[in-house]
Amino acid sequence: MKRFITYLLMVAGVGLSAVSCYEDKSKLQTEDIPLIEIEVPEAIATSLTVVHGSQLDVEGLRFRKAGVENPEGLRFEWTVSTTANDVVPVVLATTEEFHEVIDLPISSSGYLFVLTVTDPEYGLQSQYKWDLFVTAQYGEGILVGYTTDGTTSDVGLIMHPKLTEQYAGESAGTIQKGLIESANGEPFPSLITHLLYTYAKSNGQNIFWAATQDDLMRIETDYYEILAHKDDVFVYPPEVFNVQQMVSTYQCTMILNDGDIYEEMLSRDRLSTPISETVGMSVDNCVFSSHSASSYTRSPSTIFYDKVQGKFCYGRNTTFGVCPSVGGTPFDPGDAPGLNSVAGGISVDATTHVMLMRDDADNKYRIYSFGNVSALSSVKPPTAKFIYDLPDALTPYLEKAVSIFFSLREPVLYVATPEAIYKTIFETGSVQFDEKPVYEAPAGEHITLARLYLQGFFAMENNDDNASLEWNSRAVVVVTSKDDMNDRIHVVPQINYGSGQLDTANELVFDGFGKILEYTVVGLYK
Amino acid sequence: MKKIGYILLAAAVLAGCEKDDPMRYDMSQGRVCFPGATSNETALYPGYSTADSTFYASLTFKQQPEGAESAVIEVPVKLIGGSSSADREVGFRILDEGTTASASDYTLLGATIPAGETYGAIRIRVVRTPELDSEERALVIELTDSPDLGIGLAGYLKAHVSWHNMLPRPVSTSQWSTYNAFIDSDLASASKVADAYSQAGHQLLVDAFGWETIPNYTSDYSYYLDAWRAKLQDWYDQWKVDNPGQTRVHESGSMKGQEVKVREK
Repeated sequence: MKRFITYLLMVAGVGLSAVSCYEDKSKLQTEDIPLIEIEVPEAIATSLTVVHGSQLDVEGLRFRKAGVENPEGLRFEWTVSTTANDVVPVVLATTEEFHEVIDLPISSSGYLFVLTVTDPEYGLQSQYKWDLFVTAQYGEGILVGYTTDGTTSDVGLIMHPKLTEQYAGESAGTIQKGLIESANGEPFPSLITHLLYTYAKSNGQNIFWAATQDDLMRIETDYYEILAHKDDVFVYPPEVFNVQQMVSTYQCTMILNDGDIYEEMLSRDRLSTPISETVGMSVDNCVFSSHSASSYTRSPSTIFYDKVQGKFCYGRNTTFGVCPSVGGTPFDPGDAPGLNSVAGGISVDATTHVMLMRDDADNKYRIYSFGNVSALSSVKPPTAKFIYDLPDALTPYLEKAVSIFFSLREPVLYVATPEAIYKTIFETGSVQFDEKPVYEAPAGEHITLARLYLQGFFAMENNDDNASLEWNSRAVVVVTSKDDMNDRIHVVPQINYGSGQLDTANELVFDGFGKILEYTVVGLYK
Repeated sequence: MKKIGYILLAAAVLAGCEKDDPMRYDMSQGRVCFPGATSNETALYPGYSTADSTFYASLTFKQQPEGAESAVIEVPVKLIGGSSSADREVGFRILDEGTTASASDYTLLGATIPAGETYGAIRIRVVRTPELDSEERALVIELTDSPDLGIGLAGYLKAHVSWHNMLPRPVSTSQWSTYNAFIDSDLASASKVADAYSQAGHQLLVDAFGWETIPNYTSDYSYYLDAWRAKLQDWYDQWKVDNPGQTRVHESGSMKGQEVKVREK
């Protein structure tokens, strides 16, 4: 019995060994399954970029299976997802080549774009992945407010190699019109009165302010959708709605409504009450000199004249004050009664505040310039710098001017009348008015608006690092009209910098808007 | 004898190889507690306070249809376990400590987890009385085992149920900041404490802004406080013009007896 048990155990052991050594062939490869190899042109090997709303073309791909190029019967699927972890990617196409319009939201962080090729013979799939970047259809450029019926209004965007960084369109430029109606279903129901590009610092969104006769709106510039109307813009809407002026200042958009100064901090979206320190001040003729440079050495950022008090006022960010009376300077900003504001701006050396004033006492026009003050944590009043007496010969032109503005980087005053633009070079002890115009309205047309051209981002924040275009502060934008609802916008570069001359031979001209009401230069916040 | 040994050894080996099923939660053995253990749940059924492990439910007749003489408070309860095909009773009792309501102030309508559901309610009909204009009534409830359901997680078994005919008192520090940013008192603007609260101050905010409950103190208020205060002050000034001789006076809090004023600074 003992022997029997021993044999039994031995047989069982051998049996177990045999079982454990059994080769399970069921999981071994029995034949080669060829992979589908995807070969992609080097130019599109890693990432793809497409303008929102335009067609993306992916072609030139080659597929190999067991040495056979582009074998028949493969199935293709192009999908896109926000991240690699998206559970259900969106299928965009099932064709071998991709030729589809991309209407995905604009994304600088990119999408995951995947081509999946399936070999139906084995069900084996191969994938190729790209980062897909969707950029804005609308870049920087001149944003024109216009009307075609005299009642409603809309905006159109001019993009051109000279006006648009990284422009990739036709060399003659492109004009996109009807942007508000396209994005919002209808144009503005009334006429545009003011436009001003800025950005929302909280989220880096490029926007612009648009004032019409009865509304004040914030509008983003990716799709041109209206973000907010008057009742949302103002936390407590003013009793009288009358936007008179909009300017960019240090970290703010300043809006003058019915004589009250409101400021929208760029990091916020709404308007509160009028700036408390400006209550009691009045802005003469809605004229400001303002800059938006961030350097603390350039304080104040805003100067205006209060005719009621007979004093100049100043401000930086949300802090404002009235200039104190001082002696021993070319003029006394705190004791300057009887003046009238005509125009204001930054000029001479791109940092000097200048205010063109008419004196009630002698009806003469003078330019008052102000020096910058270094003020690290608080705003200080500006210093009176110079007074420039303008020649009497200029007076008739000033009195019929449609626009008056300054060159940024040299002491040049431009006066635009309906017929022409004239320059005056003002230097200490020498003011030279040239009766020969630097620009004349084309035959049959008259000038309705003219300003210095400033690239959008630079205009909103006056740091040279924010300017990338050659024509920034080196060109003049002129609107001309034949009163036939086909106004034209001209961009005329300066020539012989410092002379104030304009290079009319190289001007850009755009038309087809209808009646042009206003313009701003939209930029790209970086 | 040796055979017996082999047999025992084989039996032991076989017994040792027996598949040991893992323990499983018996889904049919339901338990209940008040909601508040997860953020999703708190969003759906707000009211749980981690400070005292109590679920707070409150009703004001101010938010009931005008003229309502009674109302039903539904205190949510959560089922732990699988739902069933029949309604199941939830056990609870009223604790003396903290309870200020008398038997005539309320009627217990029942407490069930409905068939197929994972949340149910303790339903209480409360009666509106004149006293509720100035003071609240409260019941403190504790869940107990019932024939259908056991009690669930400790720390989620107590509820404080109150009702009154006053404005719903803010509950969060952020709401107190909003109140104190608008209503003048000895406290700092946007203070997070409730010392100066009064129904009269609250009523002014309700009347001027239309708030059913005082909102949290978000940047929409802090950034534009001047405009919000101006809006409130203008409304209050007009109210005074429209209601000559009437004043709003704090009936409670540190400003008790003083006229309600809009904070300026």
